[in-house]
Amino acid sequence: MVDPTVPLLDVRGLTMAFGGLVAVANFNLSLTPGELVALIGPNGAGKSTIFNCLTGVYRPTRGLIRLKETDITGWPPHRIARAGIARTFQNIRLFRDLDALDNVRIAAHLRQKATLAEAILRLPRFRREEKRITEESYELLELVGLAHRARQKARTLPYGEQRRLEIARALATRPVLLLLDEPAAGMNPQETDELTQLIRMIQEKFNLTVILIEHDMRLVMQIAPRIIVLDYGQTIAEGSPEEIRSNPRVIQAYLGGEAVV
Amino acid sequence: MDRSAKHNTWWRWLRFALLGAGLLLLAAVNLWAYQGRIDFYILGILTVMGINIILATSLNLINGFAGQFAIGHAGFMAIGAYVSALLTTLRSLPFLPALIAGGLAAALVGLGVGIPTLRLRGDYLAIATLGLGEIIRVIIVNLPITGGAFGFSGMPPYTNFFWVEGAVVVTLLVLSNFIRSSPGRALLAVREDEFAAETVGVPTTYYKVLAFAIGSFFAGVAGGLFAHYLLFIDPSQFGILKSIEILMMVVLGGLGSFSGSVVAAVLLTALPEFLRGFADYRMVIYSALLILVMLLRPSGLFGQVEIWQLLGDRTNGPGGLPGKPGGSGRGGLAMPDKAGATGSPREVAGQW
Repeated sequence: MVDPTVPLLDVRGLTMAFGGLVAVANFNLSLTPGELVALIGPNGAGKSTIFNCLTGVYRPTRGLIRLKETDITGWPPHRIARAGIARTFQNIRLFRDLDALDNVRIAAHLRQKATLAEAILRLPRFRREEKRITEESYELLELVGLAHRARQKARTLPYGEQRRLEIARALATRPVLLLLDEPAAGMNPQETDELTQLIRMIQEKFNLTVILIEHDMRLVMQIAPRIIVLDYGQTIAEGSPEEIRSNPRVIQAYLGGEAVV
Repeated sequence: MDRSAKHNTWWRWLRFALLGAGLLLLAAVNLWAYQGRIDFYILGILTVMGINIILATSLNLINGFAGQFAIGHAGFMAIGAYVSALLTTLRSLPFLPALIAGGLAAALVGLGVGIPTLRLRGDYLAIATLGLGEIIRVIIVNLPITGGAFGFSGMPPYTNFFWVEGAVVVTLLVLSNFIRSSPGRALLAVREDEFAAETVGVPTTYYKVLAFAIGSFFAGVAGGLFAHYLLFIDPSQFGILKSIEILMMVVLGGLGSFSGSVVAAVLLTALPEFLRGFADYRMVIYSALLILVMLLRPSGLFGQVEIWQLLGDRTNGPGGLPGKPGGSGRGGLAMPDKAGATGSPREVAGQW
């Protein structure tokens, strides 16, 4: 079913410039199905910009993005979501005044086929789908350990749970590629460990390909077989955790000092 | 556990009793109206109330649920009023098709103008839609067929209490079913966070335009009922003042609560009548009351809560909502809830 020779995601020469500022320059990435790659780099290195290009929030200045051989460059975000890319946000963006269940159910919405008329008239197909979506959403909440919070408003949840709810919401779109933008930000070591477990588990369970932006090096080194390092929009290193750890350019970028190009 | 179970049965009985009493009252009013035992004046107020309920709830769909602050609702009401009146008067069309045609015409215009204007946000959208309402009014003044500023009359007196009642029921059913469905939740997502909604696959522009078109449809139907009740329409009845009046009902009742809009429409229609005795001071008292409510409950009477939630509808999920039925941070009906701690009325006032 999945041809491993065909990359799930293929990014070629991705460049994003805002006026004169080049946030991302000539970024390349090829992911095989099921792979997990971490994107690291100092603040402002262009990591989130890459996510915004991949999800259609920004239209790239140059470059090509292909998902399973389909060119999705420049598609609107909702179409890209339907194509199978889901994400979480660095600064949590839940539907704050809606409860946890509805947050997840909204993301499941794109798989509903019943028409508006069927919904208004409460016809059988609508009822069936509504039931199915609700059940699936409960399962996802359970998976991230939030089933008991289903009927609480998103903004009343503790911080760590909001992060997990965002993951459940992303999963509800049934993605093939999941983009996690600093999921461990603001978490204590124990919460981070739980999160690491969770990412591993969902990756396996849903056969997901994952790109992870993270500052917590312990998490990155533990979970990512392959790491890409960005600095000032440029890819400065790529490799296994050991290679990255000993790479002089990476050390320079993180510890400061004159950039040697 | 035992105590909460007891509490539940108690609620169930209260709900049952309230529902029963409501239905009984409704049946009685219908019977009296049918027998002609309600005097014309009261029946007239009830009719206007019903029309206002349709206007307020349909505007609330756009403003409170989709979160798009549009304020030209009277313009769409005007389209429905004129289209249906012209059809019944000049083409002798029966009432129902004329009403629907009026609604569809309003929806079509809503669709046409919604696509460009709904790109605007907040204040800009408000001003654009206000302007739009005025444009519709001016067009009506200048069209030869509408009688211009002299107004239009001669339509058959079709509207009565029962027509309005039926229209109110249909409106409320359609709107509340819509909002409690997958497309309805997509609409709420647009209000909550447009950006996040897009990234989970919600085509936000589509849903904004959809809400706008549906809201406009019901405004058009309300206009048709209005025209065949008053039997005389002229463009000045559908000006900015009317738009503001509808908006007031929505805000007073609570942005995002249909029940709130219903209650506010009833109150704001009845209040001026009750205040008739005070003659000169009527509008002063009316305005003062409005200011008072807004000061005390900036999120409106109902906030984002519906009456069935207050009465403890727990059908929406296993385990029920632990202490949450009134749980809107924008204020449930004076119900203490956990969410209230993070969003007191004061705090919400800051958001305005």
